[in-house]
Amino acid sequence: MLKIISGILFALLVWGSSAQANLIIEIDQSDEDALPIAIVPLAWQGSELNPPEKISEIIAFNFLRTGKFRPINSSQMPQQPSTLSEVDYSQWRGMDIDNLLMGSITEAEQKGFFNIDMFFLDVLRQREVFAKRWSNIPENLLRKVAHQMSDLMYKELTGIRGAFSTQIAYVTLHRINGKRYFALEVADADGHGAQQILRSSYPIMSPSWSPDGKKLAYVSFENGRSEIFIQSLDGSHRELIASFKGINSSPAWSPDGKSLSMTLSKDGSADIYIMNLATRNLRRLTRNWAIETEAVWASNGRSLFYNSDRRGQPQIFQVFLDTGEERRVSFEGRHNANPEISPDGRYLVMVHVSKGFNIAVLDLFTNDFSVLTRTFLDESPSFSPNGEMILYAMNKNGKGRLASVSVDGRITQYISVKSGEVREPAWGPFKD
Amino acid sequence: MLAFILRYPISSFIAISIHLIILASFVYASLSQPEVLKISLNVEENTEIKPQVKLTEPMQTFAVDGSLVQKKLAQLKQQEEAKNLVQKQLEQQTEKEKKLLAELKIKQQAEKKRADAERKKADAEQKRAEIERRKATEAKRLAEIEKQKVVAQTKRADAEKIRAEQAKKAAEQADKQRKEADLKVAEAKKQREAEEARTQKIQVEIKQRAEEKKRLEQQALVARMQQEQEQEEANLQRRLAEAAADKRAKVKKNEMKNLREAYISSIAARVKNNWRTAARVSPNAQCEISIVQTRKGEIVSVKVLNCNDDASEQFKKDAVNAVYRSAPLPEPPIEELFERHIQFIFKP
Repeated sequence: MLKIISGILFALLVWGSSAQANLIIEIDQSDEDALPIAIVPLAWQGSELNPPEKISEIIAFNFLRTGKFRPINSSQMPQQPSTLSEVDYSQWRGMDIDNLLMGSITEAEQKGFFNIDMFFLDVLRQREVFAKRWSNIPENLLRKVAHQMSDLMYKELTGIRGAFSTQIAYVTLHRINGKRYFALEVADADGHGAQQILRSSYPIMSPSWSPDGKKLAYVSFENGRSEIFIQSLDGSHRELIASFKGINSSPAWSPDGKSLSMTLSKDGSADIYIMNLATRNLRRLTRNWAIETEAVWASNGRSLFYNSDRRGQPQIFQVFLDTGEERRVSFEGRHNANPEISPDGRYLVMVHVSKGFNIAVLDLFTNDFSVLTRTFLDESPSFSPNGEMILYAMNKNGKGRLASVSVDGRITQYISVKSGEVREPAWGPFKD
Repeated sequence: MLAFILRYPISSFIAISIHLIILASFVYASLSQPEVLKISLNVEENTEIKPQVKLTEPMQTFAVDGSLVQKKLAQLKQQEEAKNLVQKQLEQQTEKEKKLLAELKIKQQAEKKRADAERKKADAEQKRAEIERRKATEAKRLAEIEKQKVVAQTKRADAEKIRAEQAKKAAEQADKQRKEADLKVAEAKKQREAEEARTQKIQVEIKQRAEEKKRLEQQALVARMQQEQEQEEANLQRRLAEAAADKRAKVKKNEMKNLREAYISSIAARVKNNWRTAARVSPNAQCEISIVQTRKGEIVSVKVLNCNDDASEQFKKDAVNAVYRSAPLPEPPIEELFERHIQFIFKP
């Protein structure tokens, strides 16, 4: 029976992958400190009128989404050089441009393959920062080239690794002919290339990325109750991991990828457990009559943050794996839940309830606490792998949407789908 | 008291008398005392007695040896005898002389008597002669006077004559002399006048020269004073100028210092103005920025030094970018303030 259901779901999954629905990202251009940057359209040499992908536009959009850069419009550019000898630095200086990207894309000998040359220039010092060449790139990977180039430039400009080549997972809710269905989707960080990897009439919740970025663990109610599944992104594998009596929820992958933390109520009240994925053995971390749930791993893998209502209202606690010691972490406000820790272990974000449900951040180094968002019914915060942005779910006009905010709260952008709602976001890891 | 006396008159009288006697005796005693002293003093004065008798020479005695000098004795005896003989002779001679002396004495006494008589006679004679001689002398003198009178008269007449002649002569002489003298005087006068004129001329000249000299001296003095004054003024001017220059230099130095600070600040401000970052940097981050620039304010090199712990690598990189973005750096307000090497603390 289980096998049959799996088969059906698999079929849905394959169907879903064919139905692409890109995310719509709206950027709240509120940051005036954004640095101007020139991303010159790559010179095209090919049989077609236009190149298959406008790489410069992909890069420009990436930089625009960071909120820290303001790519200038190509129509405003004083020149559009593609080689070093064509560059007139003084003209770019006059436009207050510090950095310039230019290059060319040409058709490779083999049809459908392209060669790309790019030069990243320092206008201030009038020199090349770096140049990069991609050879024989198939058309479907041209976007990837753009993201890789974006990552290199971002690292150069900010000292921080770019997260443009990463993916996000989320759950969409659609209504077709009065019938609703849920889909687990994966898309590029810029919202492109969204793919449904699971589709179900029952709720899908809490996707969690494996550290290698190849699998997702999630909760599905397809069997009438909450169960935890692990599924590979390429659709080749799906496995039911936890189907204990009572609640099976909130899966979270350990940093080493060998364990999965989860909330189970098989022993009475909801508590935090760790499952060894190789042996499927469980280790119970908390023993409390209250609800302990929504656990996330500290980046060093030695402790977990979770929420517990043992004090009446949910607050964030930390439990240490070696000693089993538990301590309360959040003290601001009466309700803090759904913790998420930054990759560097410094910032703990959470759903903070005061005037409403908002995302707040606690700096564990300084104990500074601040509310980052002003949106409505915010939940499920998730850090970008470089720690720069927090992706979260919110509600607008009664419809669930995604939004992202920078850790300092300066930049917010809204992510939506054409039709339906989007929720339960999870930002995927770097893929090396 | 009076009643007592009246009652015992006799007794009182006696008592008073006794007292008076005693008193009188005291007075006497006190008065007679000095005379006794005087007498004694006189006695003392007369007590010094000079020796009246001449002292005889002491006798000389000889001691003679008996046998040995019998011969000698004999000799001596002989000698003594001889001597006695001589003594006798001498005694005789003395006797003779004594007689002679006595005779002579009588003779002398007679002679003396005679001489006295003679002398008395001579004295009388002499007196008489004297009177006579006086008479003669008087007569002679009178005659002489008479004679002298005549002579004198004669002499006077002669003298008158001579004197008249002499006077005449003298008058002539005097006239002549006067004339000569007049001439001389005239000459002298002339000479003197000439002399005076010359003198005057010389004096005038001297005076003129003196005046000239004085004038020149005055001029020199004035000139010197003027020069001194000018010198002093110049000194004062110089000192004033120096003081002013000093003050100006100080003011200028101060100004330069302020300007330099302003210059560096303007660069720092420009860099701060051009600070941008896409990175999350600590608000406490700060570094020293060391710039080498050209005259035109173009960046030759930028170094980031002595950063605090809050300054990340990206912060340093962006700080350097801010400097490059600020090029060309602001020019100094004055050329001489240009500094090729600029260093300041950068805190965005």
